Amino acid sequence: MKITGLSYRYPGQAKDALKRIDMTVHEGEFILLMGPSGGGKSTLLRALTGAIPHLYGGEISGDVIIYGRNTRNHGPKEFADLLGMVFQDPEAQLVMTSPENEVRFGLENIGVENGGIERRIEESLEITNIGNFRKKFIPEMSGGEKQKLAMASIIAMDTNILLLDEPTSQLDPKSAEEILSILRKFNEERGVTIILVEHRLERCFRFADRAVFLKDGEIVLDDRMDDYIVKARKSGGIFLPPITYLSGTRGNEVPTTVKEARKIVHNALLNNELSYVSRSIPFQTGRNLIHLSNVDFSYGNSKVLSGLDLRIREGEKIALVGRNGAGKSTLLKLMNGILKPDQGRVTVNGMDTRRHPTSKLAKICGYLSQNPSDYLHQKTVEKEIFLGVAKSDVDLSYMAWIIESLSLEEHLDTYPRDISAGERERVALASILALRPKVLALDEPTRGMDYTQKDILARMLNEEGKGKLASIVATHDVEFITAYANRVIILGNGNILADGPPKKVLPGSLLFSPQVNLATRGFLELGLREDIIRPRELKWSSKEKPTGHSRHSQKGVPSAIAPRTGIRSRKRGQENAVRNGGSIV
Amino acid sequence: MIPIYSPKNNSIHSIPLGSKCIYAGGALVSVMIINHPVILAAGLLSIAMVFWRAGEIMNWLWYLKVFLVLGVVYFAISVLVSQQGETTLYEALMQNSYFHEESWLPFLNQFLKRVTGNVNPIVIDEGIFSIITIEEVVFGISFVLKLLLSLSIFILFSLTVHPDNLLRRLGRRAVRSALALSIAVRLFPTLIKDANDIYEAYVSRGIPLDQRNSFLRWIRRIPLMIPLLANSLERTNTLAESMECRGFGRQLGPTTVLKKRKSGHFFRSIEFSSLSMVTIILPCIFLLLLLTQLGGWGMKSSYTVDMGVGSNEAVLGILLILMMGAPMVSSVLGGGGN
Repeated sequence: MKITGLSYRYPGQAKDALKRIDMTVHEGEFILLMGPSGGGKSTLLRALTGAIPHLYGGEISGDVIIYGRNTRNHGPKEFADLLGMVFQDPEAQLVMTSPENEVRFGLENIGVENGGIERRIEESLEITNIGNFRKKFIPEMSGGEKQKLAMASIIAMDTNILLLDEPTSQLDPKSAEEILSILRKFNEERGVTIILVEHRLERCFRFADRAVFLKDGEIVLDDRMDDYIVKARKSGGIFLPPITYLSGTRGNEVPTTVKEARKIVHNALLNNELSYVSRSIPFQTGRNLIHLSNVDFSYGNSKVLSGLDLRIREGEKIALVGRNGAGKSTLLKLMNGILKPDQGRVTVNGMDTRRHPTSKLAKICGYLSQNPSDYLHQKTVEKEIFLGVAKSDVDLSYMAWIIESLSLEEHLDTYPRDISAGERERVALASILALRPKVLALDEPTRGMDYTQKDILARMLNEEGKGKLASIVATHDVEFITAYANRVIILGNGNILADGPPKKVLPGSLLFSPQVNLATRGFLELGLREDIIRPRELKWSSKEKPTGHSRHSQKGVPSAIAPRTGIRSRKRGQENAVRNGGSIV
Repeated sequence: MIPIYSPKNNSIHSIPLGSKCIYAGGALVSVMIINHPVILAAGLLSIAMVFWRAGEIMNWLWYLKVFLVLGVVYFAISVLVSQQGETTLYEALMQNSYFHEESWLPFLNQFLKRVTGNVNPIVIDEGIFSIITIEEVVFGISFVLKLLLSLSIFILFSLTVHPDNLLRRLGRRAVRSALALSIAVRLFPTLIKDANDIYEAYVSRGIPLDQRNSFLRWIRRIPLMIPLLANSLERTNTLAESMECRGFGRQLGPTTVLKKRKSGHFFRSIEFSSLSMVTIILPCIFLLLLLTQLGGWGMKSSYTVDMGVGSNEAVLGILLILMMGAPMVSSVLGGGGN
């Protein structure tokens, strides 16, 4: 695949979405396509399938040549047997009503023989672990199952190239791991070329051979992984998974897997060469804001929550985790009265949700759903943000703070549906923050957000209302939790399985442990994202020193994981204190 | 929520598509040629048993409730407007001043006089407005029953036929229409979910859409159509892109069509399912029904007060019950297996 001088502008847009892209993709490569949201990653994938310009129109210059065929002359359907694409939202790419027919759809279109079709259906559904759902009705499948089916329908076509646009963004850690393992297997064993767009690098960094960093429609970095790590550090280190900060003693040994990191940590520990940073998120709790008492909730015959008790107090930053379908969204909706409990009682600031309309409760408990597009129907981003705020309540300095913090200044006059998925998420969030609720319930707000934006979000939630805002975030993003939460709730089996500070709850979890914790497990028993430990010898020169979020940056510490409480060296003897106390500050 | 197809593992759902098509066709013709309300009611009970066996009784009742409203409206108009029949049922209404010249009609006349200049544009013919006969009532009931039976046949077909199977059976001849149906069934629950999510998103922003006054509540929800439409269009776009990326619309054409064209065989083996007995039972009943019609059994005037059920009507009723309940009979005989 050869891309030369590719520039592209969407119809009616003033700016180019892609600018002079030059890139050659070799057979069997696993490329990780990274960059801030709105940087042009999805647009580049569309250009590779031929959907740009054939389905989208617009102005294009340059060429994309795939196996000798130019996408200017051949549309997506003509590349269907060479190139498969998995989209971010599985809901929008499944055509048929049963999994076997969904897989069959593509195979029949490209003229696979009848016998081959049945074999490929069987095999692709088995590989993606949905063989048992062969005849299930697709609308009744869960989000994770649908994403696996979307994957199955593409891999069944046995294409040479796979393009994937954030295929794991809606999945819990286990399902995401399954999808990425399939990709690695296809890449390593079948030589399939893979181009993967992903924001949560800790999941997939180790699989990739090459990293391409796209910003404002331009390729900023395009290197093998080792070179990328070095260059990414020099340029701020934002787009690196936390585990890469556990560098070796000489600073040139950069781990990309937990196994490698464990070896480095172990050696450094033996040589007493460890330094670490840590922080504690201020945990001020005030009065009760939300109280769920013995709450039951069912969808039809399916019971989701059973006898749940929960109190949320002023100032708490709660992360709500659990597998897909554990009832996280349901719990958030119960909190602002969108759903009413079958049994039990939910009170918001003392008001029973059964007796008060949601529109009234929304002033106290704001809710952001999973799909930010549900919020967009005004003509401009600015109108969208101000929609729920009464004119008399507008506080311009506060609104300016929201807009600036979420980097929405340049989009204020843009039509909200003309911006990227990550930017839409920020607009929807701004529109909820604008109401100045006392409690914020956010459902997967980090989807489509890069590390910088996640860091900003965590900071906003911690700073808003002088720390008095209570927030509860349902998320699969374990690394975000460690930057944001002072309380973690694991939901499962219709009730709360674990509830406590992140340092107590996460390290003990088999599914929701952050990478740094896994890398230090058994040695230090710490290792949330903020507890980065590094050999003392690894110094950042002033030139290398990260530039982003300067007010939180400290010497020798990458800004993306900026600690709040300083750097301390430690000796082995201090380990017990950490084990017993949970906090190392 | 509007009930749509959902797969179920029972004998009615398992009946082959071809048999269901024959059933639907035969049942529809039978409903058309029979007018006796008692027999039609028996047919309705019979098809109810089929819905029960198919596990779709609640879904059927949901639709029935909707169409019953239409039926009642039709019945009321038919009875009030029609002048047919001899056995007057509500003659007393002729004297009712409600329709009399001195009540509301003169106001209408006054208005029409001004507009048209005609001195007396509406001639009061009491018969037009007030005669209600038993024949009209019987005819109205028959018609409503026919309407409900016909719709029930369509509902049974749509609730028990997998749209993907329909798509495959239609092959190239109507592939786009069948695919559209399949996509509609696939995306309908998504559309409902979208509408719900958008509503939730807006009330969560403090916009008072959840008023107690149901009229205001619905009026205020109208603007939500905009994001719903925008979401649907975006999804349509991605869906089209996904379909193209999987080769939809390539010149090569679907495999199944190619295979049939190339095979050149005149005969092919088919698996006989005991559930397919519906295809054997049905034509026999249908033939008998036709014979009874030719014998004049079902030729009663629509406008008759003769509601009696003689031996002819009894036979006709049994035949219609068998006709409408053929899938039930077939599934019982077939034991639900192949």
